[in-house]
Amino acid sequence: MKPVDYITTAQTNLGRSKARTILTVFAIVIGTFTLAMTTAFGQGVQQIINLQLQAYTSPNLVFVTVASGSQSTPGTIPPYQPGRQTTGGEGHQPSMNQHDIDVIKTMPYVSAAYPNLRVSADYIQYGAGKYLISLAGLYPGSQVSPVSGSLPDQNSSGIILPYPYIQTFGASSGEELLGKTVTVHLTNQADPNKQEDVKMAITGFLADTVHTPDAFIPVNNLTTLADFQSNNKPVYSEVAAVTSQPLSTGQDQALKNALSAHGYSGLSYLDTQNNFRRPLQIVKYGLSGFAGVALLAAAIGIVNTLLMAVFERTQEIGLLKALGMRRRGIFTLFIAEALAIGFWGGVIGVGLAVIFGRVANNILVHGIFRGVADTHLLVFPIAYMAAIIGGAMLLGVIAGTLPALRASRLDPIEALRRE
Amino acid sequence: MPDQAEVFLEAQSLHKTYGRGAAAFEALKGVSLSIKEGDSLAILGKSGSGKSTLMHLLAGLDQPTTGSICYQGESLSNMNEGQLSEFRNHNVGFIFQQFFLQPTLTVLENVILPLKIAGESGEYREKQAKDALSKVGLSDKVKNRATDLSGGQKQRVAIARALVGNPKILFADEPTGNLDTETASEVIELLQSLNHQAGIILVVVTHDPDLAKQCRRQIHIKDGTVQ
Ligand SMILES: Nc1ncnc2c1ncn2[C@@H]1O[C@H](COP(=O)(O)OP(=O)(O)OP(=O)(O)O)[C@@H](O)[C@H]1O
Ligand SMILES: [Mg+2]
Repeated sequence: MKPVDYITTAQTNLGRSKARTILTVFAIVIGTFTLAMTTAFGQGVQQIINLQLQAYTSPNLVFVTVASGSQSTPGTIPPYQPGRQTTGGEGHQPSMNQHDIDVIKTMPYVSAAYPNLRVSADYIQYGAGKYLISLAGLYPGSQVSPVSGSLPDQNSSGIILPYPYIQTFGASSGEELLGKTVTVHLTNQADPNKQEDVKMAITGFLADTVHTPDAFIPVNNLTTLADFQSNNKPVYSEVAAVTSQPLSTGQDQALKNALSAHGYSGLSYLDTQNNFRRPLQIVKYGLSGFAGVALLAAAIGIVNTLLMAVFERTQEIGLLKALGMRRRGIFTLFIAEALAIGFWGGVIGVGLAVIFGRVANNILVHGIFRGVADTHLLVFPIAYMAAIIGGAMLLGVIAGTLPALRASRLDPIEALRRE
Repeated sequence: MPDQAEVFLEAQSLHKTYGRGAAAFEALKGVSLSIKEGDSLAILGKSGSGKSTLMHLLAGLDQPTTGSICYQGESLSNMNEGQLSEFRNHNVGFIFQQFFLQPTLTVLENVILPLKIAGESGEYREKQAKDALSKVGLSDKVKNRATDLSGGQKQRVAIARALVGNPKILFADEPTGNLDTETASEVIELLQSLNHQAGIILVVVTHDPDLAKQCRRQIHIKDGTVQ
């Protein structure tokens, strides 16, 4: 037979006992639907995590602290080390200095290192309005992603602001404010009479996130502001190490090993990502496990359905053989049926998931996930969905092998004699 | 039929034993026969004498325990499963007492089946099937479901299905066994005309003396041997 004849014959044969076929397909649908939803949820959450994280940090940054500090060894009080003090806000985290920066610069993959400073300005002024602001440094090669505009140039006096400032400044979209000038007002910590106004141009806005992050300005500008506030003695407990590109898991580990050999501890983008992901991963594995059990049950259903079909169609198989169909042909005919069951189970399951996902996206994004996910909570990548359909077909083939073998081995004379 | 016609099929001392050990039963006990081009042969005998068994062996549907079957000098025992299937598909037509039409298919689709198995293209096989149906006088039933036909019509569909691949030899196992006298004689007439006009070799297992008489040769089987 021609391949197309196998497919059409398989379809026709499946249509002969509709109720049985529908039930068998439905069992697969439960599994593939769950798998598709789990994947969509995982992918969506992944996107959201990345979006949220990229408003705070960049994949090419590793934040380095002193390993003995409370950040990496909670519940301990580090011993005194000359040149290190605690930094007010950070609990018992020893401060760091230029020597640390010099050492960190020599670590593998690290191309630059800066004190990770925060500057709390008195206010930011746009027009007549004055508002609170916290500033952080934008490091070279940073991949913080803006929702409108762009990142400020390293040699410019630009600033990229968190999303809520759009509304605060009375604009309806970020684009309206691009290129507009704001004034950042600072006071010297030791002498309140020393004050400074710094003008900056708005270059863009960060993604809307659950917690409003700092505004970013080029790291050198930030250092200048911090030096002014602290009379050139800024205290910091964290160094931002810039890597030439985002690190792979292996490279990430190599860098952390080198840091730890020098008494430091590093927190990379991957670590932060994983911290967010872990609880979701548990949900994902749970759902995948459920889908796996459903699919296993479905596979047994396929075996059962096809064994019944072989039994019912014994005479027909005998006739086909008498008319010259080979064993291989009979085998293929039943495998084609198993494939078709798998195919429909996959397509319907994934299809339902996509439809359901559309509706759920609308409800969630405008409901409890408002502001977290701007468009999609559930994401259905085509490659993954195709893989699920392919997997269901493979499951069909595996489950169909036993019945197909049984059919192919029937003796034509015996089979024809059966009533 | 001219006596000098070439031998088409040659069977030598066929033995067939069903089962093993104490349950073993020898259904054929050394049957030899030869069939020439254009021949028609009726196989007669009491129920259980081994007629169907002999026919299945000759048609390559089953293998003899010992003995050989040669088609134009080529032995069936030298063929593997695939070659034997192809041999049946291309050279042999079958007609059974129970018709074995597929109830879910139309008349045309039933007749197409052997060509579908052969992997022929859609257009070609439809044309061939229509030709075969017109030979058995069922051109007007092409679109009907096979189950909607009368017994005689069903058997004619089965004959069309046997003819569609242009076989050289037609095997029929009690083709009129399920038909009344009148429809039976129609079917007999049809089979005879195929033999006379198209030169298709006919091997018919039958209880029907009318059908047997019209064949050029008759052999009688008794307890697994030719009388
Ligand atoms: N698969 C089998 N296993 C065991 N015995 C068998 C088998 N097939 C046939 N037989 C026996 O072989 C003998 C010949 O059977 P066969 O079907 O050839 O008879 P037949 O002449 O065609 O009879 P009928 O006219 O009733 O169709 C019978 O005794 C039958 O019981
Ligand atoms: Mg019989």
